[in-house]
Amino acid sequence: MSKTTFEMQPPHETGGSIVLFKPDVDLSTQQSILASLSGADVQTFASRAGRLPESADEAPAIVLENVNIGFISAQVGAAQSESIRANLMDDDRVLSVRPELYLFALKTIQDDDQKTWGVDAVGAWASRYTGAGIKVAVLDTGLDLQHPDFADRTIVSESFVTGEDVQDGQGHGTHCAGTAVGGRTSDRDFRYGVASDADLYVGKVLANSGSGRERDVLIGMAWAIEQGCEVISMSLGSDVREGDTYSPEYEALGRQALDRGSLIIAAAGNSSSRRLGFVAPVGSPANAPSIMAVAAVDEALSVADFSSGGINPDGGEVNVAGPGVDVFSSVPAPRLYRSLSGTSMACPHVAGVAAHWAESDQNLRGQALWDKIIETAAPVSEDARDLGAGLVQSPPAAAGVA
Amino acid sequence: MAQISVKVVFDAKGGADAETICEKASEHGLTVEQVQRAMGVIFGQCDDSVVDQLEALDGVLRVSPEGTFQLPPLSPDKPQ
Repeated sequence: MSKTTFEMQPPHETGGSIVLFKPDVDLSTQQSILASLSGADVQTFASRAGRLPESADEAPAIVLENVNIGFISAQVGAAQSESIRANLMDDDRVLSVRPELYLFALKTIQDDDQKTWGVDAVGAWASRYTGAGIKVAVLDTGLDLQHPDFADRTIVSESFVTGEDVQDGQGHGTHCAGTAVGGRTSDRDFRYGVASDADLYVGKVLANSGSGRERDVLIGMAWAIEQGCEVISMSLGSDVREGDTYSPEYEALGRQALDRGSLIIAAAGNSSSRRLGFVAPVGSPANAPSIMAVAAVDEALSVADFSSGGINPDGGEVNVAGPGVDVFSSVPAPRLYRSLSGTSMACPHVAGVAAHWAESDQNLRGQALWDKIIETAAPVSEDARDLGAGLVQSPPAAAGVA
Repeated sequence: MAQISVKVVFDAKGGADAETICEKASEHGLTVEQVQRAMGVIFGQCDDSVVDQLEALDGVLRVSPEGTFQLPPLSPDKPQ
């Protein structure tokens, strides 16, 4: 099967060259160096705001004042450009010289009037699969059972939070369920759910305050496995430190799930501050080796600033990535919809895609489903520490027989 | 000296008996709240000073404080 790739465009040369002079080389010397090599007078231009005059475009070579940068035009010819660059590299007054490149705006994917960017980016919009017949569990803060977009859906629910029913009083669970298995907005037919025909199993393991006990989460996981859910989505976690290992209870359940034909998928965590150079380790329970850890990408398909990374070994790796920035989905009434960011939003995208694959082939269950998701992820430009196998991808229209 | 919520992980696969461990653990001060036999975990509360004694019981693999999860406020400004 062919793979969609989102790698950067390869460098494309203009035919010209860019020269960086050493700071102590004065302007007239810079001019004379380029003049001797290009065989033409070299003009200087002030690097003020605004574009250069047309005469600069027509000149064989120019120098920008005060920044020690010169340009040699493509009009000198490719062969001569190479020879000029070779001469400049040997000149000790020159810091660097390289071919000039065209620059392109980064490709981004945006919501349009029919679908979210996430539904598009994971290939769900183009896929003929909808998750029909597949049980997807969302273990979270519950669901707004009166939400109009979930009317007429098959929903099985259970609350594991003492004193609270399944009704979502926080919003996080309804948002995650909306992305994984929601459908279209009831008012304008706008699609935001990935596996819109899957059967939804709602396990409320986090209270309306957003907090949860470990026992409730573990019991919720066991319940989802017992229910025969092929896909179990967990947009929750707690931080771990560098060097920490996984909790064996989560690994035991993750392993049990795989053995019984279920796949547990969990959010990697949001504790990084990549702008400041800090990458946090994948949290728990996503760091258990038999639980699939999901990182978040933005609309440019770059790793999200907050997304935790594969710092710890032995299960602490990121396995795959999903859309996790400005994700539009359902929230409880009266608001009904909201855009949120986080690996919590990336995780249900992967869960929805997993349901597509499970629908496409009844042999894709447990470990086989895990392997298919990894094998078909679209490579992205960031390394595996940040995004694992890449951006999760639904089976395309012609798939089914992989 | 503080009362804490703990999870007592026992060797269910190795045949450790949950009832016996609960009984012994109770004698050492554990208030048993929930037993997950298939998972091999007992949840309960005890004084933090008895954790070592619980861990020394036959069939017990590990005793650790029960973890919690906390979501941030639901806001576009906070990664979820």
